[in-house]
Amino acid sequence: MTAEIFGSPQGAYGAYGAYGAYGAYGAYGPNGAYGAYGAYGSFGLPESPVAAEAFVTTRDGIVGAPLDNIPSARPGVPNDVQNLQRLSREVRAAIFAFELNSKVELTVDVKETATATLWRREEENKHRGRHKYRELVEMTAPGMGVFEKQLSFLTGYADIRQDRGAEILSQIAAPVPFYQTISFIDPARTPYTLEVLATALRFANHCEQQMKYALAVKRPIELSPQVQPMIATPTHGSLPSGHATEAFVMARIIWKLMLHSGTPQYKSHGHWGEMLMRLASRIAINRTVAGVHFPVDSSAGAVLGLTLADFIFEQCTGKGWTSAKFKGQNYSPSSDFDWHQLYVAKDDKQHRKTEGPDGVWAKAKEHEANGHKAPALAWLWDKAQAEWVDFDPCETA
Amino acid sequence: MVFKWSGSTTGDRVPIDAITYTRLLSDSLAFLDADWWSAMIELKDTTIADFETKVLEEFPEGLLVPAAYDNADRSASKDRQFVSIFARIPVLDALNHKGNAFGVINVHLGLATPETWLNHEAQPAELKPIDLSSKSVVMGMIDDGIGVAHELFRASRDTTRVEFCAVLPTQPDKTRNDVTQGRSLNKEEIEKYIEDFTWSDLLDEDLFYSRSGQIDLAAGKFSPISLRRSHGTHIMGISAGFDPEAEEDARPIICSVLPPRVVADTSGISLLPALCLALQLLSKQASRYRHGGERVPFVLNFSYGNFSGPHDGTSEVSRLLEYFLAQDPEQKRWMTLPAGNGNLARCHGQLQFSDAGCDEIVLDLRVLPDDNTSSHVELWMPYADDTPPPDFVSVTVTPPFGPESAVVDAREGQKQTLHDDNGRVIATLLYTFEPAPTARGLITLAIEPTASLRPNQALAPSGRWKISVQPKDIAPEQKIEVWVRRDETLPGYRPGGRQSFFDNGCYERFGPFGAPLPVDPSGDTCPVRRAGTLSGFADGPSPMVVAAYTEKTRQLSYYSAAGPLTHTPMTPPPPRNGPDASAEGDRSLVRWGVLSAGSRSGSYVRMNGTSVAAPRVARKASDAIADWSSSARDWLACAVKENPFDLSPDANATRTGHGGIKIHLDWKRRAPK
Repeated sequence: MTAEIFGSPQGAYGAYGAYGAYGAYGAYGPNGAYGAYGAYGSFGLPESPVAAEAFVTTRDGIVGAPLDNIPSARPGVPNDVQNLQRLSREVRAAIFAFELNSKVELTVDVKETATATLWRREEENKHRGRHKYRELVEMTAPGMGVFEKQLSFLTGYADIRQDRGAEILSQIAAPVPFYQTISFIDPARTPYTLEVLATALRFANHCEQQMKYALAVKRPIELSPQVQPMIATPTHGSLPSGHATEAFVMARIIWKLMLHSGTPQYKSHGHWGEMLMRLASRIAINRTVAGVHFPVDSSAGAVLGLTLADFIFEQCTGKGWTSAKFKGQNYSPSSDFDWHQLYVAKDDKQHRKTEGPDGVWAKAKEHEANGHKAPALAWLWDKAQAEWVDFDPCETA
Repeated sequence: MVFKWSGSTTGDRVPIDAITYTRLLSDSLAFLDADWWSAMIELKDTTIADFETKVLEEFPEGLLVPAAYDNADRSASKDRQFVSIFARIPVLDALNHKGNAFGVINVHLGLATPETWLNHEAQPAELKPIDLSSKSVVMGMIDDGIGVAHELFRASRDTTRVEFCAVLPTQPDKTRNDVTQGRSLNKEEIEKYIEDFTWSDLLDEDLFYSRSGQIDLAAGKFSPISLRRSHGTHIMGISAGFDPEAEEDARPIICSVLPPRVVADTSGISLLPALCLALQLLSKQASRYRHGGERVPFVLNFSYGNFSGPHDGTSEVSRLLEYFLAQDPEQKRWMTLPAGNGNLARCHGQLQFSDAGCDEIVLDLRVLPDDNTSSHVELWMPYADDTPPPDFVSVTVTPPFGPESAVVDAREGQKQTLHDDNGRVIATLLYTFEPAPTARGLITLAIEPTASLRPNQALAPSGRWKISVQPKDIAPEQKIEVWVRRDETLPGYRPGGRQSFFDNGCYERFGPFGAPLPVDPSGDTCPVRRAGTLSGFADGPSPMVVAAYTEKTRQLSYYSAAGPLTHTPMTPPPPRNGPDASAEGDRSLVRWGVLSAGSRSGSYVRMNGTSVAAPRVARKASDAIADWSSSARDWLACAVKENPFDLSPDANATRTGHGGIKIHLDWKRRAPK
């Protein structure tokens, strides 16, 4: 992965690390400025006073007398995906982010613990302000007792830090390279897939940070002085785990691209999907090993991530979507994180109901497609999807 | 801090086992909030049932005899037998005294065992015979953290070659009531777990091990199987691993997972009760396997070792292993053990007062700071079958800043205790006598931890402890053999012991080119020796004991421990002179260790030590056991000749026995039929 795309922990997807340069859009270029000022020009001479002076003197030297017979240009094509091709990736990122971010809202209800509901906007008609909202993810934080009891998991997991140190440190930033060990992703081979993933991660972060803020769940370090995490504890809330959310978003998005590519080895048996989810789970669990998350945070994060991935897929393709509930009040403190309770990779389906010793703690419901898709996202998805379609040996060029 | 010695005798209640005695008195034990302790006892002329009845009469609800002993075992009358029990502290205190009324002649304290790990309702299970294919050999394994789901132990993606697995360190399955401690899994149960936790042909092994009892992170409990590299998995891969494609059906596996907290206490003493229980469980299982009505042979590998013990073939562990090997006369049983890795550990001293005028030999014991476990030094007297035995030597001990203790003679009841300012015991020097067949006096120095996070823990000073030994009634050819018990805590394990060692200035550690010296220099008079470091478990007559060599350099690996065993002239000779043979323990000095199974399917990792050499021999032995008419050790001597690995000529027989053996490990090849 190039630094340009996935950067350092402070980089564009730094939300992963929670050190958070993400929100500021700041880290795209060396000058830190997003958009027009950026160093994206291919000349390699951005905003240099020397270059500007040179452009001025060059013009002075060659501009000539004003022309009066320049042929008319066509006007631009408004609101058309054709334009996307000619935009820089960074500009496109803003377009995609807007398309997704504007589709969701969040409300919070505080009773015994907080319940945050992420709503999705339904495309009822084209007039602003006349939208209907439906529940996408409802998440209720468990009570403090669950977290206090789950501290024992952190004690157990801490003993395997010696084994997981390298993974944990490598996964502070977006662990895309780990996914590259399972799926053939490369900037040269699959540039649009990388854009899809970047878009999905940005959106996941947009939602998960709001969810964490709403639920305000304390980190392990605040519940015991003996956790002693092996990395800095991020300042945002513990549940849902952002790493779990983003890891499962990424795993499921990649899996959907593979699954819908028609490529035989991806389509049957679900091997790639299973491996991608095992990886996502490992990344999530590593945060418990590190001492910055409870297992229940990963369970909530996986519910959120799997659901958001399906939502993004719907926005890109107009196919069906899934809504989900995480009922923290029913989560048993003795339950470790186990993604198999939530999702079947082979079928790409979330379980309708997940029950533990203290009751049903997760629910999911599939919804029919309503036919709408976000045009810019659909453009991007199609390009990414094409990157996964295998060539037919019988149809040589 | 001012320390003060006080002299006293043990009085009429003479303790049997010095370490059990000092542990029961130790402050550290008082801090453990435990209902039950595991222990191994040796009964003389008493049935288990009689013992149980007598103890329960005096201590109602103070004893639990595991269900692994069935009614026949309980009523069998034997001269001597080892039994693993769970008991409360007052019971253990009562048992650990000479002349107790319960028929107990040996006691070894194990470890605190939570009530939740025990099932009081467990009853002996009925074990029906199991038919196997011809040429079958049952492969046994006792270790910590055994990754039974690794593909090397599977017959196919859905089926396992593991017939039985006892998981001691877990909560019992109270719906079954078949085992007192932990759980036992049979083939069908393992396969059911495999089926239940497989999605898209991939087994979720984290789930497999947490549901089948080996991993319980919610309990804050460490399991080596959570790590990439686990001792038991790796070693079982060498002894009994086959690629599923090989479709090997004649090497079924039975195994037992020891509690990791036992493993964490590498002083070894606490290992015995769990080992004793594991052997009983496996012995019962092994006897079930038949072909054509005949019992199928059984090869057990146990890759553990320890520094302590009399090292003369009579240690409790070696007698326990002998007892196990002979337990079913109808079944041929062989066993492999590692020689031990303590060659350079500086944990063995040999004191001989052959020079006239030599009136004292001093051993400098380096006790490290931040040592969270007790340190123990054993001074074994020469063999003596007369009563009372001669008063061979007297011993004094001086802690780092004094004062020197009064003498402790080799006389029953002799004891010196070191106290701190607050009167708490921080060290004990104590004489006990280990009866026949050992027939040796033993002076034990027990030193409390030098560091602790607990408040009010009595702490011993770290630094140089001087152990002075003065000759008394000892002949010039007789020797006092001294061992520091192993208490190093392996990385990742609790409780943080650091190994004490002898730091005498005369010990030459390195040769002229800076490499470690693997053998004692000739003419060396230093009392600290590499010779005689052979594992204290490996001194028995029947097991095949295996040393480790480094393949590339054709030398014995530096750590590979050495014989000879302890021998007092004019007394019965020990049953061996060192290991029987050496096998590959390292590929080269750089590529240390050998490859075998990692903790999860599809992974292969390196591990070294005599621990990995022993199972190589076990694998080879399983091909020969059925047709070999003589002993296992005879077979190994012969196998070395047939498959020699040429070691450099200076390889000493006390380190390599009959020599190096080359054993090719090919998981894809079926065992010869």
